[in-house]
Amino acid sequence: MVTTLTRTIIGKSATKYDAFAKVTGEAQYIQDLTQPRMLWGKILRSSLPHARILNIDTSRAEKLLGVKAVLTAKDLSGRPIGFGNDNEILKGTKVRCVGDEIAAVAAVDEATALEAISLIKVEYEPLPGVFDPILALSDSSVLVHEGKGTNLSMDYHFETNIAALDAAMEQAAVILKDRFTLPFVTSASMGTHGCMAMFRNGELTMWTPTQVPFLYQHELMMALGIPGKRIRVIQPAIGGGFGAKLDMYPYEASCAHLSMVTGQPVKIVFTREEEFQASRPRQPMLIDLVTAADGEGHLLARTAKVICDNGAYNSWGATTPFVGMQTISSLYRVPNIRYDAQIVYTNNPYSSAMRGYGNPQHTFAVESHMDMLATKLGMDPLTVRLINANQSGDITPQNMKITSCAFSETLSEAGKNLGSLPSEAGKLRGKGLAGMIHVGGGARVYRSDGCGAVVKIDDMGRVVLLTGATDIGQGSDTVLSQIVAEVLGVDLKDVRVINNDSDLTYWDVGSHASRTTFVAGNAAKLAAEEVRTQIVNAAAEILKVGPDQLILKDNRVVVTNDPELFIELTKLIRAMHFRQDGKLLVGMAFYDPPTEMQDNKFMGNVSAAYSFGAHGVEVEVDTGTGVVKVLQVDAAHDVGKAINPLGIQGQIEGGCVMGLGYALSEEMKVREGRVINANFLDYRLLTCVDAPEIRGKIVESDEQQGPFGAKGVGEACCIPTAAAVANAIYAATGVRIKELPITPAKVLQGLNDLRKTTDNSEIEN
Amino acid sequence: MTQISFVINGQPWKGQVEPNEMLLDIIREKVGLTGTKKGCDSGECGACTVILDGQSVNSCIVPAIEVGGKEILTIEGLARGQELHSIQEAFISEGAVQCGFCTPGMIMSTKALLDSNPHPSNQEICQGLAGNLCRCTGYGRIVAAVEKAAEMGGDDLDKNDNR
Amino acid sequence: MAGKSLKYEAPHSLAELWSLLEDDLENIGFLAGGTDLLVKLKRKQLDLIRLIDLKTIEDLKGIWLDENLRLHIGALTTLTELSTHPLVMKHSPVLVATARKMASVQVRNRATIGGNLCNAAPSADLAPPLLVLDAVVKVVSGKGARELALKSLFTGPGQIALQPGEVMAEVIVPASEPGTKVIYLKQGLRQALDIAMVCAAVKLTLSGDLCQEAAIALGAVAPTPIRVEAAEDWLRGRRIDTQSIAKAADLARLAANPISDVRATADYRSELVAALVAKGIQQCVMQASEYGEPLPLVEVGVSRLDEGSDK
Repeated sequence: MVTTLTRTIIGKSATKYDAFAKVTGEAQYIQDLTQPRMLWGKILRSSLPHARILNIDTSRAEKLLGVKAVLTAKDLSGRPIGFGNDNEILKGTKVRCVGDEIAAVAAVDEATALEAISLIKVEYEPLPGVFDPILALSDSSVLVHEGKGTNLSMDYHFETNIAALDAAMEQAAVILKDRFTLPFVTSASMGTHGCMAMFRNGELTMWTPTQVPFLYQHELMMALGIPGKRIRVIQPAIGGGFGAKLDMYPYEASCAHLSMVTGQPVKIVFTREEEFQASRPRQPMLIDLVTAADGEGHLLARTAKVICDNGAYNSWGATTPFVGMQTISSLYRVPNIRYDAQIVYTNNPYSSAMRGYGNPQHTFAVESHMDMLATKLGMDPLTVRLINANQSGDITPQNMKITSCAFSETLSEAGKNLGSLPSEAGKLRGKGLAGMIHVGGGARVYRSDGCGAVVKIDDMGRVVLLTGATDIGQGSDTVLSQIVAEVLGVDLKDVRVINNDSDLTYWDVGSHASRTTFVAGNAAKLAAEEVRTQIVNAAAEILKVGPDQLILKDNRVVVTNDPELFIELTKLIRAMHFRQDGKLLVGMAFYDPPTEMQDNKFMGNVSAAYSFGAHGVEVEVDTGTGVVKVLQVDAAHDVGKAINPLGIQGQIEGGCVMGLGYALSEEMKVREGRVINANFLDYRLLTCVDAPEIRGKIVESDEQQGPFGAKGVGEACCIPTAAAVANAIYAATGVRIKELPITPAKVLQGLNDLRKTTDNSEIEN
Repeated sequence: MTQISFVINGQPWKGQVEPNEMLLDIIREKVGLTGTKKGCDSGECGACTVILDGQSVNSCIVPAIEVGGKEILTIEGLARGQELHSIQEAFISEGAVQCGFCTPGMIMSTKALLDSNPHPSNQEICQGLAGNLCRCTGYGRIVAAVEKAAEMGGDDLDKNDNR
Repeated sequence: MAGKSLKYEAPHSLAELWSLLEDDLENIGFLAGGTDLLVKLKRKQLDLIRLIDLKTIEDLKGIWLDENLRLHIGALTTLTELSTHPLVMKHSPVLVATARKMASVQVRNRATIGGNLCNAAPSADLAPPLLVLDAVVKVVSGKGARELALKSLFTGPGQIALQPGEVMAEVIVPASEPGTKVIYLKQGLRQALDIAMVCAAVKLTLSGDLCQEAAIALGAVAPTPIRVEAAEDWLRGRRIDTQSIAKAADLARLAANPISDVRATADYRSELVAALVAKGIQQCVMQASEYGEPLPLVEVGVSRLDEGSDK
């Protein structure tokens, strides 16, 4: 691997690659796209959570002037779709959740499409619904999928040696057992879902803000029954993803069908209400955690029993225990582990894997217990973490190999001045800490965790990186251009990134698992290095020195020992190109991290590097109202190497605020399967006024496997926040809250309960 | 249908609108400027913020039929040719843009804020932007950008240019 | 939205308005700022045929002081205008502070005082302060004008005592006695944008720590905004101390009749009533002792405890 001695671009803050287009309003999101002759599509969705469909009458809709197509299940093949093959594009016999797709309409404009939807009459036979996963498991009289005979969709189990675990429990000085309850929250990206389909001459082009274009292409192929090689996926600017845009949604396949049937392009865009009801939220979980430790605070064992409300169908959410398990087994050093998770069907909305992919839920439990352990043993919350902190070289119980690791440093940075703090009358202040571990070097959850990249440079010095990696707003495009510019010694502004057209770019499994900087970054680096090698070899001949004596900088190829001896890069490239037997400069790489699929016992090093971090949250609690105000957050993150510090700062701040929302104000309220707060007034995203000062601290542990030492941070920054808030509230008030969101009502109840206990014990004394 | 005319980004526009059409839809579909975004269509997120006769409003809940004879400024009206407005430059330089969907509305609210209060305090900035939701940035870089724009604003020659 | 058949009319005078209303009073929506009405229309919670814009009627706008020092606020005054008008800042600064806690800048530039009151949400922010100020509303119609006490305006959630064909023209705020402090407190979950879980206004006329006059109003804890006479009677003539505050707060809690909804539970709302009323009384006293008259704009009416964070 070639290393440059002085870094001119890596490590220096860079402005976002597409910021110009976004600040001028020129960036085109799915909402903004049109095609000639485009039709507007709308979906008729079920208003009932569980019902048989007796009849669908589309006759009036079909007759409406301006309607070009109306589709129901009878018009489609009925092929099952979705992650678990348990879903359908349009439901013909049964609906299993509010929002289930029943009909799709294409019309000349949006108003006509909406009117057409209102004219479709569906006759339902309502069925009893099941909305509680525990009931769904214990009572099989209401089955979401009858054919399966159970509401248990999937089952995960991991254990180390059981005898050793039992022995550890026997020896433990402290055993904590608690249930932690995590609610529905949702990505609530500012840009809603949507897609535009154009099926012409046997070719399907889909414009969609997907996070996973190549998996999406595959899913479309399976859903539509057309060859994958006839499908092109183009991504417009994406207005936020956070995991909700991992799936190919059923409505997208309907949109493709509408285009097939009408021969015209068709666009469907979600309303905000649809976004709440019919996009994929974060999975609610009940986590029964047991943590055992010795008298000095060393963790001896951890067991977790998790029940996940999967909703009506399997989506990526059905695999969150895969990640949650890693938290239980590998967050801090714990030798004995037992993990059981059940994915349960209900008639609730079905989840994808929102930012953190199950880790935020499990970290809330684990990190609440770490503080409770500290309290039990009379230890300081930072110390109890430091003595158990993962270190470089560790191999966790799941055989995850910790390479670079600055966990202790992040804990110490974020964990200053913990505990109760001075406060004015009527308020209580405190600071709490929580740490995290997450994959930071890709995540082999699929047969390939790779990313393809091609770098080309023309004789005018215009560099283009074609990468399969999707930018969902997190700034991967910028980081990738920095990597390429650094390797080639060119100006950052001379690197173009093309990342949004499956015909032009190269396979990538997608923007999830915080993998883009690491995996796509390595691919881009390798591809650029191939070009560099070609350049250096050609320059060596001309300059009559060895190739290893040359560096690329400032758009030149320069002899290291004799900087006066150089050749302009473009001049060299022209010399290579415009001649007999000329060459184009192109480099290609497919980087797939050196990791393992976990085996059927969930053993395996799933990522090439792991990211660590810690949040220290300071809160002020009003004892009269229970309202919690967050005063500031210290967020320290081990990112390996900060390629773009400004970008990382933005991610940390955004992640913290999302984490604070999870902790304190966000909850998607689902009653009998219906989201009753499907708007921004009552689904409370934190505003600018609510957001406290976030003091981000970048810690660099220089990951050898990472591009220039970097690892991922996209999810890490929202994972420990909620636990840190709960710990801070405990430090301030003595109230321990084990369910999210931590509302003022819960805090006030806790304060009142504490007062009663204190009063009672005073009376008793 | 009613014929109305208004000035948008300094240019006259004339067209037909229905009583049930909102300004946002007219701007995006009839005037053809898609920089202003529809985030919620209910006046709850600020993505559709434009400046109407000098005041920031959620264009998704302004009936188009009301704006006859008025002046509207959208995100497209800020840059002068190739030259960005100082607010736009500050948003770029301070890292205030991630997915960018909230950005046009956020910038228009910033413009309205700085026009009435050229040197806002941190608290005044937050109050001024309270009606613009952002899911990506956590607002930190956005507030920094507004502060930067306020700093730069003194040198801006655009006070007479009606930008 | 409402179909293409929706009709829009913009009368330029009250006389023109009355002639529009002569023949047909069915399915009419009076459009002020539209920030509530248009959202309801979009969500099909309202069925309207005619939208009559009141913003084009100058007689419904304007703010002035009459010779009895009553402050007249035109019903079509926007919340921004309310919060920046010099007369309001001088004579009723609590309304400035209240308006600034409502929604967002964008909404306040459009939403109106008349709209907030006539929308009659139990949580309407302007109701509690206006109730403790004993505000009166002037209502006009083709048949003439009448005044009614604001507390008679609210008849139920989203319901007001206006006849078909009547329109609110003004909100009239009587002059306050010297030594009077008014505080409005709003408790949302977030520090901005939220509809109040509970809101409260406290008005005290103090002589030292002796309470000469008291008025307390609550929002979001009953079908309409309410005054709490029991707590007011208790405080009147009493010295303000920890015990009298606690008792007044408790009386307020007992007078409230909150429900559980998507924003909060009934139990929590009850707790909040007591907490907010206690705070409101305390803050009136603090202001009286610390600042004297006149009160600096930024401080007045703003709960110290609700101020945005200093970063």
